[in-house]
Amino acid sequence: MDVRAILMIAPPEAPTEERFAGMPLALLDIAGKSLLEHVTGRLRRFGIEDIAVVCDSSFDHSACSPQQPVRRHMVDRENLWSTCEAVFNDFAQAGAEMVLVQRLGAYVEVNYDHFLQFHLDRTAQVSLLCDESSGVDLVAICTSRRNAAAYMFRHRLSQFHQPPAQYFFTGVVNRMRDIRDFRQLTHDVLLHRTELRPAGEEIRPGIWAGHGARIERGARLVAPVFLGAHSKIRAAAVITRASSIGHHAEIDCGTIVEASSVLPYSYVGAALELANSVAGFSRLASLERNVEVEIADRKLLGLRSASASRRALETAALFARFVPIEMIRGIFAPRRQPRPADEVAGMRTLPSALQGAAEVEERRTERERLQAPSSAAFENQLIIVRRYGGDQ
Amino acid sequence: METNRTKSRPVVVKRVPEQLNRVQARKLLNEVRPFLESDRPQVVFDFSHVRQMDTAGVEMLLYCVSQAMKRDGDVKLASVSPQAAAVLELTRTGRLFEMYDNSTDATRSFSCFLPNTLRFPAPAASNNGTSTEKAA
Repeated sequence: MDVRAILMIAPPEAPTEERFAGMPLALLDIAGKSLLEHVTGRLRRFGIEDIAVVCDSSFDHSACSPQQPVRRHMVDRENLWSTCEAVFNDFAQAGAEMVLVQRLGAYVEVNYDHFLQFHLDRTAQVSLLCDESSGVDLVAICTSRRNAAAYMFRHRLSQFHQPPAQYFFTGVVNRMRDIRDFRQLTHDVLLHRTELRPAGEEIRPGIWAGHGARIERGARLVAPVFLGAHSKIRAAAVITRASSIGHHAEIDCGTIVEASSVLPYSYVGAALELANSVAGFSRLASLERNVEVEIADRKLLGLRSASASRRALETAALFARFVPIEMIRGIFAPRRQPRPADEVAGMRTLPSALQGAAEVEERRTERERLQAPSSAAFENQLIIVRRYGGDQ
Repeated sequence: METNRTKSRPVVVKRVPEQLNRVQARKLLNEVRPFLESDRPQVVFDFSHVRQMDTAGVEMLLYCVSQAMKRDGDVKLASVSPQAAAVLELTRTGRLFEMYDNSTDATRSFSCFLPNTLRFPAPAASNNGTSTEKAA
């Protein structure tokens, strides 16, 4: 049977829903591959080779290109659904018998064979995949049902010409509604709780690294972790608790990345602690505080260039700027201040700015001592003992 | 002390005493030092009996892991008691170690990844309750 698939990248209108830093969650890196690539790979494993991806053209074009070939349609947001309808008609004309339409969206670990068989058995116009709460934006439709398809696309998979046959699914579902779901899926992939696997070589048990990942001596990796291709983990950095480092990302010296995802081409500065967060595109989403902030300081969180030559130039420029500054600093740095001969006496001497304040304080203490002579009878030590030892 | 062999390199399992104070930590370190100074040392500390642990114990663990890392080895923890886990979390050193339910799993983890036996804190829960779920 000729079965083809249409995958849609169409997050809802709300700016925070299914997005991070304006990018759809389906296009962000999850242990080496985007959700789009993971789903494409799953479809191929079920023998569905002809796949069309319909994506909003405002998103990064390169991110919408899985490694395996797919038909890619980058269109305006207004034309997304009409393009889907056109792709469906093209499939029908090319001889396809059935089409799977999935909006990413949710990740569903469904057995596509069972779902298609269910659709054939029910002889319904449309079959909709549902979990225990609601539908999951995955439908199966025969190409002979063009009117039903047109109606469905015009109503954005929310209404159907006739009530669809509902296929209740009881497997792994991640709705990918927000950045927490994204982080949860990364966590589950690294702990092998889904069929998806990290896209890298397992260099040690539970530690996956892509091609060209660099781990400096003294860096600590605590399984399970994923390091993307050409990522750099500098000395004394710690990557732990199911963290994922995207390709070409860099974690600088002494930084701890705990239960976090660092997206591709990100730079995380030195001596920081990134915990329960997603960082990338110069933005940081904290899962504990439930906030997303933009970090403008490149020493904390930066974005490396996607071009290799530009990255090399940037590194060279940084080095060229560093050397003369250090030389000038070495030559013209002020000499050390002479230390007082008696350091204790020096510490007791008040700075000139505080001399006036000290005289006022001295006069106030003397006045209090004269007004309350009985309190002066207690030793300081006794007061301390009373304060800390008498609350039994 | 037990010694298991995985892929021709031995894994040393050392049971940690009930009180891991300065004296005990030094004693323990003297016992494991020869193994830490070998090539690619693989050491498992069994924390099942630990009821008290102070900074000396934490320092000993950090010293062991730094020595093991210098020689391309690793130190893992097994059967971490709640008391020890509390101290490790308090000092933020727990995240530097892989922790397993028992020393057998910890030993096996040197040769293969065992995700189901790894003791692991769950990520922050989703607001809308839509995290990856496997319905019954």
